[in-house]
Amino acid sequence: MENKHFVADFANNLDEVDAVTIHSSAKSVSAFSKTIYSLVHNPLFIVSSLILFLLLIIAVFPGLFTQIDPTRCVIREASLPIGTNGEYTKSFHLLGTTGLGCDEFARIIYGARTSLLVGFFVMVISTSIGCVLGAIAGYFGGILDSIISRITDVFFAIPLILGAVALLQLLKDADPFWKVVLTLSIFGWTSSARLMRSSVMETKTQEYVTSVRALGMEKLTILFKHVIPNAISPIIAIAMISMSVYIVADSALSFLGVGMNSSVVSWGVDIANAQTTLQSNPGLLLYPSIALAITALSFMFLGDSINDAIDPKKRRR
Amino acid sequence: MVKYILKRCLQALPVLFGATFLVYGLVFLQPGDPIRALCGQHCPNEAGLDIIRARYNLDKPFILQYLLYMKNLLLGDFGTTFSGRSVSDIIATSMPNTIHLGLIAIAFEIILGVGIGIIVGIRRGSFFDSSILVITLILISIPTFVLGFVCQLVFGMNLGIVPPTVGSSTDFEHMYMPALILATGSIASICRLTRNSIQDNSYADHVRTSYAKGLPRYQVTLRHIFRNSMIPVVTYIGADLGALMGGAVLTETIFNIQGIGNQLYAAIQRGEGTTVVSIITLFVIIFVVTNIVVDILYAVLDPRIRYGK
Repeated sequence: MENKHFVADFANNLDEVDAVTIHSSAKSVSAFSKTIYSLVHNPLFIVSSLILFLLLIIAVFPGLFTQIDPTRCVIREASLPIGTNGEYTKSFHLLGTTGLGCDEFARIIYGARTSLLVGFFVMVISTSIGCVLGAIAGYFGGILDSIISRITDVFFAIPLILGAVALLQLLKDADPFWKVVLTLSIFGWTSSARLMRSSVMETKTQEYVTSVRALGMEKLTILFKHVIPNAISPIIAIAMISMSVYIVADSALSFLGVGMNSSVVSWGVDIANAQTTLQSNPGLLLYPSIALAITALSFMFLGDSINDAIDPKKRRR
Repeated sequence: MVKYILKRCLQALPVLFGATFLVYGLVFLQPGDPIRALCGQHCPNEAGLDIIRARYNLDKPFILQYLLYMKNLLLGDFGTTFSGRSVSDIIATSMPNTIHLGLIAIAFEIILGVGIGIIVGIRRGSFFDSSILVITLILISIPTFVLGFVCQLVFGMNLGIVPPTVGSSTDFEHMYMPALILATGSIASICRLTRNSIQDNSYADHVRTSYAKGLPRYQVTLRHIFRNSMIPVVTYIGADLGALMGGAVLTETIFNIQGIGNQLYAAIQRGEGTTVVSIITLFVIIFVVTNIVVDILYAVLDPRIRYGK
């Protein structure tokens, strides 16, 4: 605290501007290295990034993990138990087969791509919308802020799953993948917009922003060069956590019968289809659910550890 | 205080209209003629169709349709389904079950979430604290419907400890497991929030002052840490109601609870736009109204909100 007053007093004295710059840049370097330090020393961060790295490899190169085509379903080999050889296809079914005779393991491997892509696209789209609107509202204030905040309130008042159900009713015949991405993005951007707005409002009152304004920098340049880069760090953590929310929401929509359909290889669709065989073959429900939960958990852990690392209040303790 | 409440209610009006308009638009801007789809091959002539359209206000411009809908809604009439049953009737029969489920779930949230949160908040840094942190993250990331199915299978069917489905009986014995599953994610979030809030507050200046002036530890915890820590938790419980309602659709479907979420699911399956929009509108109204109440509660707990800008 005392250090801050010290710097502020110095800032009033123009002769000492250089000293202040040196002081603050030295501080920001150490803050960044402290963030990295606390990240690599957090076991949760290490474990979750390793799992996500593995998932990424699975999603990009599913062929490395299984030779079986997940959409090739042989009804003669339906509902095989774990670890049996198919008599007809001569292929080994590690996790057995589904009620239609598709290889369960292959479906889980190929389903990773769908889940990660849905989560990724929705995260990028909704975070971008949220950041842009939140930054405009927080930085310019006034009537723009009122309008954007009211629009955010309206969308925030519609719970994610319920709004998605209503919109997906309208998009019944659209492409199953993109309609889910679009829907979740439309109803998912509000929390990042709110967070960005308050973060920008906090950042724009900082002394370094006041000083560049005093030096005559353009308003928009200040926004893009100084305010947004400094305000965005809490958003990154929330974006990671929100990816797990979207991945789970996607499968919940499949379960309700309004999301993706059987034309897509996806964990959510498999979980929805496994309901009917819950008693006779609970594994079909369990395996994709475990995959889904591990993925969601990893994003949650990643976001949480980033959140802890960038928050200086928590780091101090 | 009265001024604050009035201001807050006025602020909520545009949100209420905006959100209901959005949902209404989503369902009623669907392409196709619902009346023609309804009668299929046995359609009457155009004049007959027009009479039916007029009955459902489908002959009027979209904005007027919405305004008429809202007028009826404010008078307590949620419209009728195309099969002739009044939506208000559906809501009246199924809403009590959902409220029952929701109240048990919120009770679990408060007792378990806040309770465990306080304990780990006070004993920060202990093994118990870090294990609770990991467990809560695991619970948050398990999807509600997966947890529902697994518990139904394990506790309901295999072990037979609890009834696997609820059906028409809605006593506590049938309802507690679905409610617990519905609340799981929120319990974990509230637990983390309470813990963090208590930790932040234990470092506050006024807490140090209370220790310095010689207050015993339990008094500092109860009066100065606990009360201030509850403010974000109360707000969270209000904002979380949206997730709870979304989750209720899933939980009620899995456990066959005759609630409003189950009706919504059934309406989705049948493709009944009116019922879907009415139920979602109802959820949105409940959500907005609860949040006004929470905001007022917030102002009661924290005088800064009342007197501030």
